[in-house]
Formats: sequence, structure tokens, C-alpha cells
Amino acid sequence: MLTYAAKRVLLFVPVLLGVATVTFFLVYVLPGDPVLSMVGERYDEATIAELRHEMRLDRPIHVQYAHFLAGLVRLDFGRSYVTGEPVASSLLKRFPYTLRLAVLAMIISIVVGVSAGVAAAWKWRTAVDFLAMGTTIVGISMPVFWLGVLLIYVFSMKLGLLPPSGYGGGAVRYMILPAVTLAQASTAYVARMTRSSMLDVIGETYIRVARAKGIPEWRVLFGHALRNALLPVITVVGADFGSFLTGAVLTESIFAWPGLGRFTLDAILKRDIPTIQGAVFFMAVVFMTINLIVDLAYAWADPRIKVSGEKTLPSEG
Amino acid sequence: MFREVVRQRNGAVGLTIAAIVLAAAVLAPLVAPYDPYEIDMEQSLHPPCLSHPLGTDVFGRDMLSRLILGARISLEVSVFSRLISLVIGTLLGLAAGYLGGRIDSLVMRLADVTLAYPGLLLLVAVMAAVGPSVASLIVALGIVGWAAVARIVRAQVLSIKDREYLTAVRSLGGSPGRIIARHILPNCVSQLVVVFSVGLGMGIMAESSMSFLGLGAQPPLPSWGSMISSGLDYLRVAPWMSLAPGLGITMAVLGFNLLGDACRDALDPRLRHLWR
Repeated sequence: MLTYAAKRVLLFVPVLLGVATVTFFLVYVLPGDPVLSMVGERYDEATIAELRHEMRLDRPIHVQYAHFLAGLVRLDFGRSYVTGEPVASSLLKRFPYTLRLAVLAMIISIVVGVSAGVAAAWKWRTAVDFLAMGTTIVGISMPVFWLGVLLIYVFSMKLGLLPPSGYGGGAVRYMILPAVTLAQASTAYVARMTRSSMLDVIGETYIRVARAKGIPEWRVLFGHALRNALLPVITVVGADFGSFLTGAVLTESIFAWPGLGRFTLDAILKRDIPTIQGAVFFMAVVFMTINLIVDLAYAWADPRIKVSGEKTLPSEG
Repeated sequence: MFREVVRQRNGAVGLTIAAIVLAAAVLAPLVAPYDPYEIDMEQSLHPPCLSHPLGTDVFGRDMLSRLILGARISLEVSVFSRLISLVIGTLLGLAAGYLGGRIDSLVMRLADVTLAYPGLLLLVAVMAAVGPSVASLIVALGIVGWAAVARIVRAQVLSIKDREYLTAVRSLGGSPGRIIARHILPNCVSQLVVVFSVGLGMGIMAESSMSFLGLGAQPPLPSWGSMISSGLDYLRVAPWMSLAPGLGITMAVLGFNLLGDACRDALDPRLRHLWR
């Protein structure tokens, strides 16, 4: 286990460097001159040259790259071209909003997904199963931004029950629609994973033994089957949590939620290079770290992985 | 294989939907009841009726006609970007798996870096860098998707490269090129078909998401994603503007997901974990 963990952690470093490099050069080729867009009307050669120097844009690219890497080590992503604030502190300011939404979405996804999956497996090949699986395949196929629009239309415009968008000072009412939207695809995956994993487990001998002993059906389901069936579900949940924390660009833009996703999209639309670099790098690191933790937890829980050294469960999509 | 796919009920449903979407895409100008670009301000924001089954948008353009043409854009992006991913991923996966050593670790680290970016983030950043258009979206989506393909191909190569019959070919003087082309690649085909078909739905989803964010197809092109976002301002008075294209995306993605599932079950049940 320790060797496996050490190997995984060591692999983290070159990938991190790769992510930093790709992020730097990707943003570097952005069209448009950030200085010109900053000065706007006050066009003046001296100011432009001064700004260019101040932002280190007059240095050769490898010097800028080295400076970028050196900054990353000190967790310094530079200052925003637009607001002048340090990027790192703006990121930290936005992160709690994203975290709140991600945690609520995760709870929805686990509670609804696991219950639906267990129900479908328990009532295998009945109307319950078909209904649950039909709903989940539609859930997976439905674009998250469209579900958001649909929910806004039904719950705030037609029924007037919930606010259509905004943060609302943190009131729960404002969180419900974005959290449900964010949780949609994940809930569907969790339900499908729980169902198939439960079906695998229910076929095992020890379940038959438990039933033969006369243990009540609900205890067999929740005490024996679900405990063992949850292991693969945890990988899905973990990977989804990583993408909730980072990939909420669509959900946050629809609901005007002041989190990281919308922050990054705004930065991209405004060509705010230090902010884009910082945000993209930060999100990739958060995503990688969560995936690493999930993999290690999974290896710890399932000894078979340590032997082969590689996980055989790539989570696509 | 066709029979295997159709025998599964889900596969038959998926195939039907996919065929409808494909027909709409190919025959778009023939089957569309109106010119999807024709502006008629007198018909602006007309609710669904007999002559405009899905209503009209703010410029009085027929939503059904725009939806049909939107299928063409979605499929174009999805199919071509998946082909690019498939080619890059297969080449690099073959190289990594067959040559091993340094090339293998280089390719796999590159794949790790690509997969380290969550969801749409890399795509959003690439599209911001190269500027939004259908062509650049195809290329960007194609490049971003290579890593998953390469991993699958590499795993497949590793699992067969040391089989006895390949040792026999090698000892008979078969060149690496011949071994790859005649023996290893054919063994990857069924997996590649599955990856391709499962990926089509994801491609449609990615295209509409990017166009929704304004980073994909640009107006006046009727992309499903951008149609939804332009309908947002009129959600209260003309909900059909946003709701109809979303229904189109959901149906198309659903069809390709079901079809992909059925292909996977028919060709290679071992890939079940790819898409549950």
C-alpha cells in the first residue's frame, strides 16, 4: 500500500509541471493585447510601455514562463489585469461559494442516487427498475444548462416558488435550483452504478446465506449488500465531487452564482491572463488532488488494486 | 453486429433516434419547412401553431427549421472531433503500448496532464485561445479527447502483444509495422467502435455546452446550444425558444447513448464499466 501511495504521489509532480506548462502557453497565445484593452481610451505610448514593463510583458517568453513557475511555487499567481487584486486571494474568496454548492449537490446526488439504485436493484426487472433506469438515462443525456433553464422556468417563473438566480446572502432557497442542476448527471451515474453493483453483490453466496438464516430482507439489503456494493460507487462520487468543485462553469453562469466557475469564465471573456492562468491551474490541482485521494482510498479499501498497481476502473464522462 | 444491436430493445430505440437525427442533419435543407435564416419580423415570437409547430424566435425565424439545421452542426462537430480523437489516440496508444519504455511513459504522462483538467475547463481555455468557430471547436474537441482513446488502445496492445501467436509472427520475421497493422490493430477495432459510438453523445453535449457559453458556433448559425442561450432573455414570454432546442439535444444525446451502450454490449461486454 505504501509503495503504491508513494508511486502515485511521485507521479503527481511531473503531471503538475505539465499542467502548469500547458496552462501557461495556452493562455499566452490568447489573441488581443491585454495592455491595449486595459488602457482603452487613454491611449498614450508612455503609459503603454510602462504598463507593459510593469506586467513583465516586455520580457522574452521563457523569462515570463520561469517567473510564472516561480510564482506558482510561492502560491502567487500575480495580479488581475482588470481589478489589480492578487489572483490567489480572489480565488480563495470565490472558493467557499463553489464549495457550498458542491457539498449540497453531493448530498443530493448520494441520497437520491443511492436510494434509486437500491430500489431499482431490489425491484429488479419490475416497473420500479425500468422507471429508475429510464429516468437516469434521460438524466445523463440532458444538458446541465438546459435543466437549469427548465427549472428556472417551472419553479421561479411559473410557480414562483424559488428565486431564479443569485446568491441571496446564502439563503438555502437560492441554493436549491443550482444544486439540483449541478447534481443531475452525477445522481444518474450514482444510481446506475449502485444498481449494477448491488445486482453483482446480491448474486453472491453470502447474501443467500444471510437470507437463509432468516435475516429480514431490509437488513440483508442495507446491512449486507449495500455495504459491499458501495465501494465502486465511492469512486464515482469522488470523481464527481472533484468536478463539482471545478467544473461548475455552466451551472454557475446560469444561476449567476458567485463561485469559481463563473469567475473563470468572466476572466476568459475579459482576457484577464493572470486570473485565467491562476484559476485554471488551481482547478486542475484541486481536481487532481481529489482524484488522487479517491484512488488511494479505493486502493486502501480494495487490496486487489495494490497487486496490479493500476486501477482497472477508468471513469469516462 | 447490426442484428446484435437491434435485438436489444434499447439498441433499437437508440438506432431509431440516431437515424432520425442523422436524416435531419443530412437532409436539413430539404426537410426544413422554412428557410432557417429567413427573418420575418411580423412573425416574431409566434407561439407554436400549425404552420410553426415549435413557434418562431425573436426574428420570426421558424424554430423547427432551425432545430433541423442545428442537428447538422451538432453531428458535424461530434463526428469529426471524435474522428480526430480516434486517430491521435490510436496512433499514440499504439506507440505507447508497442514501443514501451520512454515513449510509453511520455505518452501516458501527457495523457495524465490532459485528463488532469476537469470537464470542460481545458476546452473552454482552448476555445478562448483560438477564438470561437465551428472549425476550431472540432479541432479543440478532437485534441482534448485523445487521452481516453490512447489509454484504451494502449491497454489492449499490452494485453495481446506478448501472446504466443505474435511471438510466432515475430520469429517468422514479421516487421513491427506488419504486426501492428495486421495483428494488433484489428484486435482494437471493436473497442474503437465502442469508444466512437459512446463518444458521439458526449460530443453533441460538448458542442452544445460550448455554443451555449458563446465559445462555439456563432450566430446566426442555428446551433442548439446558442439557440438556448439566445432564448434566455425571452424565457417568460417565449419559453419555446429555449425549451425546444434543449429537447432536441436531449433526444439526440439519448439516442446516441442508447446506441453506444448497445454497440458496447454487442461487441465487447468487458467494456461495461465505461458507461453505466
